[in-house]
Amino acid sequence: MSTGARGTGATDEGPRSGGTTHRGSGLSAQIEVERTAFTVRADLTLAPGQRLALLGANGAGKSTILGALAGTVPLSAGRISLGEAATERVLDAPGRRSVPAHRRAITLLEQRPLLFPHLDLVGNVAFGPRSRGSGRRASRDLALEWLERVDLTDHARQRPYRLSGGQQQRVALARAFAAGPSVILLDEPFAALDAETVPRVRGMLDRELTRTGTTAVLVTHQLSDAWDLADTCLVLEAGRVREQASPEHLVTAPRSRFGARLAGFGAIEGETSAQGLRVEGVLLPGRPDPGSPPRRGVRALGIASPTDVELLPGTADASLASVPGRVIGVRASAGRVLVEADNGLIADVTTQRATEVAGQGLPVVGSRLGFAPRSLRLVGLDVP
Amino acid sequence: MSTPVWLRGIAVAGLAVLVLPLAGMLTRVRWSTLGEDLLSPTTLQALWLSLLTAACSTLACLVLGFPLALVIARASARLAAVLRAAVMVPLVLPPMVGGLALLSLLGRSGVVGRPIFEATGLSLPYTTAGVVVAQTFVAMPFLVITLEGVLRTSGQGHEWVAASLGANRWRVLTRVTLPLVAPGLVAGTVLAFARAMGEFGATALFAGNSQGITRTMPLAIYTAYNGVGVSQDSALALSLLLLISAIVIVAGLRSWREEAVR
Repeated sequence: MSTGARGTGATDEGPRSGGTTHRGSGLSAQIEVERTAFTVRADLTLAPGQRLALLGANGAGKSTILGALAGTVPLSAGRISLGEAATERVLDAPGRRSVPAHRRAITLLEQRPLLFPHLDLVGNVAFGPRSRGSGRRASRDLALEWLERVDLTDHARQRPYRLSGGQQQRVALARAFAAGPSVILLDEPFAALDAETVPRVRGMLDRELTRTGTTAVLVTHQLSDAWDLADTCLVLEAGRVREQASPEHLVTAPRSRFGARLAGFGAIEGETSAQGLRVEGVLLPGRPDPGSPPRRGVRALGIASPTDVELLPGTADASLASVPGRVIGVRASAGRVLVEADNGLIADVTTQRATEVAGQGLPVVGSRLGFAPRSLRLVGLDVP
Repeated sequence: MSTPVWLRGIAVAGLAVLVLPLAGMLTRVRWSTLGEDLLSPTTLQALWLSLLTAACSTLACLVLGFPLALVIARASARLAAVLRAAVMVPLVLPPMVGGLALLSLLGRSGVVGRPIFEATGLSLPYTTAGVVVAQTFVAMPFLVITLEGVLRTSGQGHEWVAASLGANRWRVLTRVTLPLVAPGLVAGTVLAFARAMGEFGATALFAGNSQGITRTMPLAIYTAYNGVGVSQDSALALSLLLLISAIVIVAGLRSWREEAVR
């Protein structure tokens, strides 16, 4: 699905779609928003045309960041601006009046299409241009052009309720782009669509982002969305950025708990030592991550591929370097059997003889076993 | 699961309580002189006064009630609960008490009424304007509560999207919010109008019962049975008219809602 060439590491990410003129502008945001549970803090810098994915569990602060960019959530502190140097437009800054949402040139595409039910499709898509002062005729022509791009010309004069969910989301997409935004905010835009519909809509979105060079911030908790659409990923946990990486890097070598979870790795917290990670008095072998090595003697995260974790019948055995864990899930994936523990580790037991593991067939949810990671990749708990 | 037979029996009795009196009234209407009774000058006067005052008070309900409903729908949960309770009180209050309250505030010796009267010589009670005030007082809660519910369920998602597309607040209000809540606005307006047409208690106390000035249809009906004003036959004819409009309103709202759902 993806068309753009990607960077290979966290350090050489950048805007893709070489050759097209960027209509999007750069975005720079230092965001601080106080919420009841915690303060959301994030620094974002996007080049024109760049696409950033915000990944995180529900309540991690992704939507708060989008709201701050859109102008619907007030900042407690920080600064948001579009463009650079001479052409910079400050949207939010201490001691200034915040630029209202309708003058930001930042449009929103969220999981619900939120089409205006009283307008036909042309009226919906023409709403943005009309609001920005274009004439009736020019707006209508532009709307028709956009409806053609999303293959809905035949329905131009229909009301939204006649369309399927996927069609409605395509109209919403056309409407968002027709407003000519500098930045487009995508809040889980495929979450309400069924699996067969997603690739088509995602493909259209990818194509139009590339064609128009619009800068984009995508909120998702699907790795596939980030993989297909984003240049850079930010992983948020409890309002803080825990990891910044290219999609490739996130998939192969995540450096945060949530990133590890997304990519299918296990992660366990402990204290670093010369040989590895000390967890509940047991030393687990491991090596520091070359990208962000933690200091010695600090709290850190040990990340392990399921194939590097062995299950042992006993619960804790210092000599075998295993930590106890209660099984919270057993799942099968393309012939492999994975056992998930409450300590954060995941063990691939496909090649282990099941009887050897539990003494009585496959480990069941609730049973307590020993988890022995053969090699942990150690990362600090406060990456960027 | 079907309902027990004895329960269905009670249900029929319940329905009878609501429907039989109306059917009974129909038996008393003198159909042969219905046209005459309706067209007698005093009846027409009451009818016209009712329509005029109800139209004015419905307009007042709309102008004052829409912003109020919007504020309640967008307020924090706690503030919304307080405001909603304040709006509900006139709805639950006996209209007679409402009339007394209006008199205490706006009457010639009222808190606000006295300084106005002393300064300008104007006073609201016992005037047609007073009827409009009394009707607005009892009818507005119907509009506000209906509209507020619709505003709250429709949420702000559409409005945020419209703003992000470049629409300023006025454009969002007129091109998005208003069309979105149009069904609620119509329903609330019709209910408020119906309530204003039928208003009796607050009007009787606050505006009195003087022919051609404050004697609306309900007051004319009441007066007829006290032996003055319109004849009892006319009162029955007016009641029939009110009954028919009530049926039309209920049926209209129903079919219109079904339309809106589709």
